[in-house]
Amino acid sequence: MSYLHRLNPLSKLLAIGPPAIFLALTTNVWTPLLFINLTIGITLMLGRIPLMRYAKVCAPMLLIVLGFILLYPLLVSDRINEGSELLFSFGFVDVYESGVLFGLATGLRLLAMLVLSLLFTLTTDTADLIRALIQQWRVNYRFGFGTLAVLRFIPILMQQFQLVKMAHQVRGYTGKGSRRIMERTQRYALPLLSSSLRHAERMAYSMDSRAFGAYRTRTYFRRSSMARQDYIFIGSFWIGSTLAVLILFHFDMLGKLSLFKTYH
Amino acid sequence: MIEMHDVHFTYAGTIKPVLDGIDVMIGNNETVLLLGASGAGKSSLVLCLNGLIPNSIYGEFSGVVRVGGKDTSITPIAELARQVGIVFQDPEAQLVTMKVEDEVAFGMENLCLGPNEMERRIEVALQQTGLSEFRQWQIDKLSGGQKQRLALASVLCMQPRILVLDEPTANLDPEGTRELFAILRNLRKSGNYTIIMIEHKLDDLMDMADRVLVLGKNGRIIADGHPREVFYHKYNELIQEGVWLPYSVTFTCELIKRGIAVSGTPLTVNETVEMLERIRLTGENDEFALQAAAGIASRMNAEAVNDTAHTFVGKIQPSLVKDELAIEIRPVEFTQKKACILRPMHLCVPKGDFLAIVGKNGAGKSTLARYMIKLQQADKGVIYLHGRDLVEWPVHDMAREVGYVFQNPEHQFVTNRVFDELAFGLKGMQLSPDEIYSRVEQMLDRFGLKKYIEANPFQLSHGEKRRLSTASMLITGQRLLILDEPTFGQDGRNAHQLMQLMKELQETGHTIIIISHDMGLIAEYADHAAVLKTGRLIFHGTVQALFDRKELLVEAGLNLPPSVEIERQFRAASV
Amino acid sequence: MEKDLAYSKPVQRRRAAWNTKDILITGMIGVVFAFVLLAVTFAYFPLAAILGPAYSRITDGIFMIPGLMALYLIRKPGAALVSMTIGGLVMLPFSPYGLIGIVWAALAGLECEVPFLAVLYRKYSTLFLMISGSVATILSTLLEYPLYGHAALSIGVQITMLVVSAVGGAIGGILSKLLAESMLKLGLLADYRRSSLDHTYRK
Repeated sequence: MSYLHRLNPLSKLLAIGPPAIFLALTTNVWTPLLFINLTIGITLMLGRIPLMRYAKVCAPMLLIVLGFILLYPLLVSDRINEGSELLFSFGFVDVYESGVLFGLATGLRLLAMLVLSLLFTLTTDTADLIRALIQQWRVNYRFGFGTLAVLRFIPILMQQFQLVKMAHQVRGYTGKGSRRIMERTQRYALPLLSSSLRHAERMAYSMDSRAFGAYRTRTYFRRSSMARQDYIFIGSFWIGSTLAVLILFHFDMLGKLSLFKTYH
Repeated sequence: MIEMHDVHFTYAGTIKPVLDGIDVMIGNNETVLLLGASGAGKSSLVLCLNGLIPNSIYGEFSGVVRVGGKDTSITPIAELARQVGIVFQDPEAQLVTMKVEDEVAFGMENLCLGPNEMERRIEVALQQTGLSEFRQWQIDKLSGGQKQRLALASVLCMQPRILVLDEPTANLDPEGTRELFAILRNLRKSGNYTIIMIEHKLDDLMDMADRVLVLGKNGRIIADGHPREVFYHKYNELIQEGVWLPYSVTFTCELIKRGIAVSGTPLTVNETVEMLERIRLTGENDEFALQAAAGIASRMNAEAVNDTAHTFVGKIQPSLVKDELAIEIRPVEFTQKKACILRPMHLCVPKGDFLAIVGKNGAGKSTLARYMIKLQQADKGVIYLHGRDLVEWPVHDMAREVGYVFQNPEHQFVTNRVFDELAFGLKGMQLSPDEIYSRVEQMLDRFGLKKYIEANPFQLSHGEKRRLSTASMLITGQRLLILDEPTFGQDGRNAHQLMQLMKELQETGHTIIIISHDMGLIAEYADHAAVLKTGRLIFHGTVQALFDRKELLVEAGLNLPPSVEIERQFRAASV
Repeated sequence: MEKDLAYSKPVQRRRAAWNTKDILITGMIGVVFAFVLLAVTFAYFPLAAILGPAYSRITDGIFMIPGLMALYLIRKPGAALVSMTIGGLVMLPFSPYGLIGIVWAALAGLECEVPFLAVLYRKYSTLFLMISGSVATILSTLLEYPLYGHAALSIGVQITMLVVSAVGGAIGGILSKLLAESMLKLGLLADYRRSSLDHTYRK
């Protein structure tokens, strides 16, 4: 258990919240880039996440970012490209510098927010999060524990998926071909959905018969709470982020902040 | 303690009532067995006891249910939960949290108990169920039997007066079942609980049950009384209804039918043996009774007892009789490519055999079966099907040669119509539509499904689904059939019908392999048994030979079925 | 008469309020579809590359299925929100969107609720499900503007985007209804049949 793993899930949420909101407002390239580097550093070191695992999780998102960088220059409206330098022209497609920058900024902004949230998701157990949400943030306990109960079903769902696959194989059913995609989906959806709904129904009966939801509140055998290290983490994360922004501002690299990002 | 007056219940959207006029009184500290065919509404009856019907499950309800004097339809659930604790069939579908102690605490937290009280009760409940050392464990690390005991513990800690168990051992292996029954026996002895149990492994419960209630398919109680009375007075009716019966009862009633004068109404193995002794001492019936006893006790295995030629361990020269073998597994590693729990084994299944694969949960039974049908890829030179390396079989040819019936028949359905379900396998065999139709019809007829020819497979009852999935595995003329837990969740009649059908198939030259925990059925129908323990084949031989090896049964967590026990004990006594 | 009395006896929670089964069924729909949606998400990347950002929005409707299906079955306010949020929670460790994913999922749930709120959760016809699917996907496209900066795209692209996503939403609406109905036909969730089948069965 690394330092980040030991923290209360809520303190991690609180820590990354404000920087994430701030990042959503940025429009240039440097701010997200700085945050990406800082956050990856913290996650890898304090969370002891192997670099390879991190890269694997990030890979699909990097593709999206690449997509933005490649497509946006072609699609942005003329308003943005107005007065910008023409980089090159290919047939009827004109690529302007500001278009490229716009795509790059959008991609990096998304990546920055992803990287921030990975700090949370890679080091937090979902069950702990729900427990904390119920006990500390007063999330309705019936919904909280309901969620916990269905989350327990995931490994069984995976198993059943494998079983259905095998059962089809035994029958010599491949359902290959792109035209059959609907049929194939149906063949998986019906048994899996019906058995999971049946499972949910049984689960509900079992919980009800153990007085679940009988009173407005309930007591807890194990308490979830914030410790000093949680407050220290939140504080230093906020201070660090503010410092980063101030430094960017000082060197005039912050760029404009905007909610809708139509104009520069 | 429990009173039910004229209780009717119909699920919303259906017409037929599941409960149609139930009148029952159950007293303090009684242990009641609730029996009935599948779909008879046993579970619905049980759900009336803690107010889930009618409070959470909607439908048309009438009548009065009182538990401890309180009307369940107006008593808050929290109060009923303190009175009635229910353990359900599937351990997975009743555990909410991730950790053992959290799970036990769950119910008490709902009752708003203080932490000290919870601590005390958790300790007691875990002790009662023999789980004390697992307190800090993650639940998914527990075995099926332990999970079910945990479910019991999490109900016990709420200190109910009434314990209800709805087929608690359906998913457990013989060892897990034994442990759970032992705990229940202790709870009963403590005199603090009224126990109501839905269960069909009756032989091990006969010493516990004070009373048997039988719920008919018509939604009414069709028999009520001491087990001795109910089972013997209503024997034919119960068989008709499809209820599982204790072996001793079936055995004795069959003796009576054969015209043997029987004194007494035995329920347990010991009582039966004593009864047989008495018959023998009366003299005249001596030889006849013995034969009849041995004959029924191991109906199908009678010949096998003296037929040692069928013991294949190490005796067969693979190269010589290759053609005679349905499946041959050669003693080399199954695969080098990935980890496999199965150790190298030498297993030969001759054509026309009826083999049972047995062992604890997690011993590798299903894995072994899956290797046989290429769902898991073995390396070249390990498994041979009809004398040809499995690796060389094209998937399509193999599917026509081998059938595999999964535990959950729903998984195998690939169409929306019963007819199509069977016709599916015949596609690509260049048959005329008429030919396909007549083949399908014939098969449906054989499995008693002809009237459902247009129905949606998902809408059949559990037993029918199972039969349909079996039929779909025979339609292209498969000669080898593998069944995973074929009797799971079936009532007595369906189970025996299916096994009888398998037996007939065997007689027409099919090879049958079943994976099962039900030693009684195995003794009755199978010829050979292969015993697995943690991936090793520790025994392969005739079923009778297996039952001679007591120490092996213990090692593999198996038990002697009552039929064999009666036969053995009687034989030992008469020598 | 007597039957009716017993049937309508007061229970601890009003019938309109959520009971445990509603919560679990809703959650389970979210869980099962989380995996479907994950698959669609990953399939979306190559699709978006081929069709471009406007036409690839045809998949938008699929993302609304868990919400619409839960609403159709449970018929209580908040069903879509709960099912989508739980779905988002499940996707958390796998999704390429990280924490934003769960916010997105919750928003999608709210988007599904909007049309139903407008009719006070009283309409559940196929047509209405199609309309709500469309409304939900259009709303979701509009809500993407701040983050993705769609406003910078040319007007033609923007309009195509909205139209395509509306069509996708309608498809999602039909699929949700079909799926829910097939579950009820299989004899599952007997309770919920009261609301969806016609009332000929119930007296």
